[in-house]
Amino acid sequence: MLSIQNLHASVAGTEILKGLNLEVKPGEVHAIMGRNGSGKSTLANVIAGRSDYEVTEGDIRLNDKSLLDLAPDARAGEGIFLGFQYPVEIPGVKTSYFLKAAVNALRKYRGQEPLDAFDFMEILKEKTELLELDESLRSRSLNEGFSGGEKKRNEIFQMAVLEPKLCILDETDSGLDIDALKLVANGVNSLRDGVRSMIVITHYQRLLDYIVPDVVHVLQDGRIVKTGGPELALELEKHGYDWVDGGAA
Amino acid sequence: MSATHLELAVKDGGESCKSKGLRAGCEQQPRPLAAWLAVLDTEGEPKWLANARRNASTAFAQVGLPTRKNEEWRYSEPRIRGLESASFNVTTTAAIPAGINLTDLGIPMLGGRTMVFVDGDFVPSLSSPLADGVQLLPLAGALADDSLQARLSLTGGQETGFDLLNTALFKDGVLVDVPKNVDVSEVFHLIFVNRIPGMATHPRVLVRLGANSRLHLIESRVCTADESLSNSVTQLQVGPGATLHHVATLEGSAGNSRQLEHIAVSVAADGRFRSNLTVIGSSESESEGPSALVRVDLDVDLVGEGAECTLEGLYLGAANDHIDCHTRIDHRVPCCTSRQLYKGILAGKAKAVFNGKVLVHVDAQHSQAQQSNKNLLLSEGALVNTKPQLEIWADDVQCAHGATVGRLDEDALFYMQSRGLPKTEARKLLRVAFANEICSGVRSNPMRAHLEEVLASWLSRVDASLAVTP
Amino acid sequence: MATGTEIEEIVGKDYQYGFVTDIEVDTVEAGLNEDIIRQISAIKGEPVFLLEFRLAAYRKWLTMTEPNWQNVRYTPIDYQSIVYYSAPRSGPKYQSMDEVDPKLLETFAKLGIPLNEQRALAGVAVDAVFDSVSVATTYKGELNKLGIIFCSFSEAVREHPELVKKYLGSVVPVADNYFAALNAAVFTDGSFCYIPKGVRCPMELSTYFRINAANTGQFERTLLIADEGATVSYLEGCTAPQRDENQLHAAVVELIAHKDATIKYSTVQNWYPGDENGKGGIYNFVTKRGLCEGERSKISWTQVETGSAITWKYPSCILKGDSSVGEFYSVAVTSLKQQADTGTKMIHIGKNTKSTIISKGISARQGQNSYRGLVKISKKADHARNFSQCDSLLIGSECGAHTFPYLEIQNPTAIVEHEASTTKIGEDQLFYCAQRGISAEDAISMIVNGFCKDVLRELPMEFAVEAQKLLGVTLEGSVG
Repeated sequence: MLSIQNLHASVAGTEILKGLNLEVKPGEVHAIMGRNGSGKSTLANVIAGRSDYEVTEGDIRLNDKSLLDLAPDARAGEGIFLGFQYPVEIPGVKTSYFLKAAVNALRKYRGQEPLDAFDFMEILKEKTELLELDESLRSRSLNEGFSGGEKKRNEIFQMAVLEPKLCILDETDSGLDIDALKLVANGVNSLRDGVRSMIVITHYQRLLDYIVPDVVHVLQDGRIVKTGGPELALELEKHGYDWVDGGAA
Repeated sequence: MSATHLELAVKDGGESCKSKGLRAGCEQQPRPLAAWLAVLDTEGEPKWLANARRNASTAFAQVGLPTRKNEEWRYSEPRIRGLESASFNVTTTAAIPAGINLTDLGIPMLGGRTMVFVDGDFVPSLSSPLADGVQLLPLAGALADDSLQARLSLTGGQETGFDLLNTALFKDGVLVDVPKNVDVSEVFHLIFVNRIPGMATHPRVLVRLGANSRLHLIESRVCTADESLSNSVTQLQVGPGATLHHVATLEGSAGNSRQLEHIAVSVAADGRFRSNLTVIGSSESESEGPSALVRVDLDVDLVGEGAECTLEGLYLGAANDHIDCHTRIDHRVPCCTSRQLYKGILAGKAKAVFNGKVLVHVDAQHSQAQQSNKNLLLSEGALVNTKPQLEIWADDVQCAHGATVGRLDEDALFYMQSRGLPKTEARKLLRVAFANEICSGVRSNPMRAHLEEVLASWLSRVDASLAVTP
Repeated sequence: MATGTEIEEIVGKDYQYGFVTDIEVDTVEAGLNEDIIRQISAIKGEPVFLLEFRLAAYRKWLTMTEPNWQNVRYTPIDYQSIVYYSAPRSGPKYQSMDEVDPKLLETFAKLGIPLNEQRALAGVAVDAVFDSVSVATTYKGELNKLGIIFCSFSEAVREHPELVKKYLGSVVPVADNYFAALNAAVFTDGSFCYIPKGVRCPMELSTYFRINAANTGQFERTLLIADEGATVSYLEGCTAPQRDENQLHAAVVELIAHKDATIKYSTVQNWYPGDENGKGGIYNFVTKRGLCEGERSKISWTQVETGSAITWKYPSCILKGDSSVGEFYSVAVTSLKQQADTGTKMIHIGKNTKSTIISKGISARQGQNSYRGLVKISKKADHARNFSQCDSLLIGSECGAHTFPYLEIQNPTAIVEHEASTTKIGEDQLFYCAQRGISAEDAISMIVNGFCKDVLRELPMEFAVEAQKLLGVTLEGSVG
């Protein structure tokens, strides 16, 4: 599914990612953990193609096609979905309208006919029920005045509607209380179907109690320094990141 | 300022004049302002100052006082019309009574360092200057230092006729210098009292805070003199990382008096400037004849990245008061923040102007500016003109402003009534709450207590006079 | 100009019911003086009162100075080099669509302008298929039955002089401002509309206007009266970019709403904005004002301003009748080197009067956008209410947004609220949209339409759709 080789990337001249390698197979859920400033969010943004991040070396391939020359919307067309750490507010644009524009843009990219309003509403309804969301969410302006929890749930809702191949969840657990966290995690789990891959980026172990990953990576100073199973996250929780420092040394 | 206090003060001054006899300056006849400029007396002054005064005088001859055509002075103009030809005295004929009672004048005693000026003259007996490291001095005594020349020039906007008059004619004022890294624990309290009718004073205050220093500066200005002009210029320089908390109160409702204060502030990188301004006018709802003008121009230049300012203001007017509050904040560099909240309560035939301008200059990205102006009109005949302006020349900014004029929240009134409060009582409470939002920002406890008291008594007197008006 | 005359015959047929046809000269000489004004008046065969009106305006104008308080910059206008009267329809500039600037045609196509209208707007010779005459006549018949008068200003002067005399200059006095005085002195034509008592005008006066009154010239005068209980919705302008050689447009619009009458006046203005270097483009200096004369009358202005090099206009309401209502909904877009200084005045005089102001300014590239508005609550206007909201959206780093609201409140029972905000279309928003598959162009148009929707929904349906497209076209390419 996703293959990252020797990825170097910098922001405003400062190198953040320094030769990162990552392989994600279809249906797998990978967790990427690390301290603040280790490059976690940079990785997410670089995969999604944010313009202020410059890739200086290496490659990112999705199903064996390089993403590097593609604009962010084209990468979305290829099936990348980034759940934002800080979802952006767009006043005056209803969530449902926004999603319809997005769905049809993606369909166009893939050479499919646009959905008509009726079919689209059906999908929205179905996903709303699947995620046990409040109906009113989608008729409000996109993220405007949403609470932190609502914003994150709205991200998962969009993920459900857009049906991507690879989901990257960037610190989706930050700022959530335990109830909101469970709701978000349930949403994510309901979208695990054995084919769709996911990268869950988090600072803490607690999200991984609810979204159990297949593989856990520890990111440090722009490189993956340790890889293991779910138990690695527990070890980290117990010993802290210094434990990795020791281990890596 | 109650009527009793006013009489007291005037009588006080009058008596001492009689008892001590007229001083030499007494023969001077009142003259129009321009005429005073013509006989500019710079003898004995350092050369740089004499030059500065002459330049200001020449510039004034060209500029004159602001006219109706000057947008910023549109609303004030009726109260300054003809001022050039009105005659004023510039020196006191009366000696300062040794036992002048500031408490009687409604000035709180704050227990810090104090500098007192009466009718433009420094009163050493009531003052406690400092000259050791931190400086708090009468300006007149410090003028030999020609480094003051640079500090005297007003930047940020074009100088108005009033600024030029001040430069040409200022007699005294205050110099404050806080060296870097000094956290001044004492409150500095500057007091300016104008009691003698027909006087024109032009006090000048220069304040400089070095890097990472901190100061709490309070100015009290009281005017009980009919037909007088107080034209002060206060310049505040806040150094990098320094914090200045500036509290100013202006009280004045004497007939035909005009109090103008121009406060020009510059805030360097990561500096903090916090201003609490209170203007207290008359408290009678009806009044005969011409009345007072109080105008404050507060200009803040945010010149270093990360600079912040918070401006809070309250204006209370009644009778024929005219109160003008102008603020101008220049976001000149990126990443500065400004917040403004001005509130007004107007009764009688009072007229208030709030004119708030926020300019975000080209390249001042990531600027944040909030501005809000709220007004309560209590009687027919009172009016308010509010003009909150945003001028934005950069794109990555968050700016918002708002203004409201209205009455008290009817829902809140009803809620309080339903809990058993009489309507008049509920109304009073809500008004106090409305204004207290500003007073509560004053950090000096005695000053805050004083302002809350002034506010409460102003409101109850206005209430009482409203009750008797049909 | 042989073909020109032919075309004039065909297109000019709508003047058969009124427009002065015995024009001997096509133009008067350049410049402005009393003789020129007399000449214009004579050519148009005007009654004495109108000539006096013009002369009074001209004499006032001579004593006035051009305003300079607005936040716009332009090279001085030479008023003596302007030709103040020319034949109402100058001939076609082109013989076929092939000669027209392909960029213009591209824009037409994007806006979905019908081919015949495209021709008229671009100034291409129009053939007889262009059926404006019959369309116009059909409408006219229908309106006549209801007693609605809707005609050119010249016709109104001839056919209904008493109405013109009564209302002309009653809302915008001759000496109101520099440009209004100039208009009063030299206006050549415009529109007149009168809706009699109790009549609800059955159609948006749009299609008619669009075909009939495009190209009415630079000094246009509109007078619209809704008598007691009448209702009318009037659409002015056109969503297509009109190529116009006139630099200065100084129009005057006066609206009068009597007791219980409602006037809705919508404008979509897309005059030529000049090129990327700020060369060319229209100076649009317009005075628009409505008088809510009677109780419970209502005037609502809606404008979408995307064109002109400089826009200077403040559609206003004088709320004289008790319980009258004034509304102003505006979207102003400045891109390229355009400058707009626009807003409204709401003058509350009557009791229980209400006004609403919603202004949305969008600045892109090097555009400068100023909102300037006055809310005045007079002493007698008990229980007046106003709500204003002025939002600015910035796209790019070289543009500017400015807000100058004036609130003058003289009555303690007034409730006045003003809110304003400035935001930008940020990289964050665009990246977020792109991540969901939406291109930058589509994202901008979506965000802009969201930003403007409170105003766009005030426009009549078909206009709103066109206006949305127009916003998209205007802002195209504003984000690199």
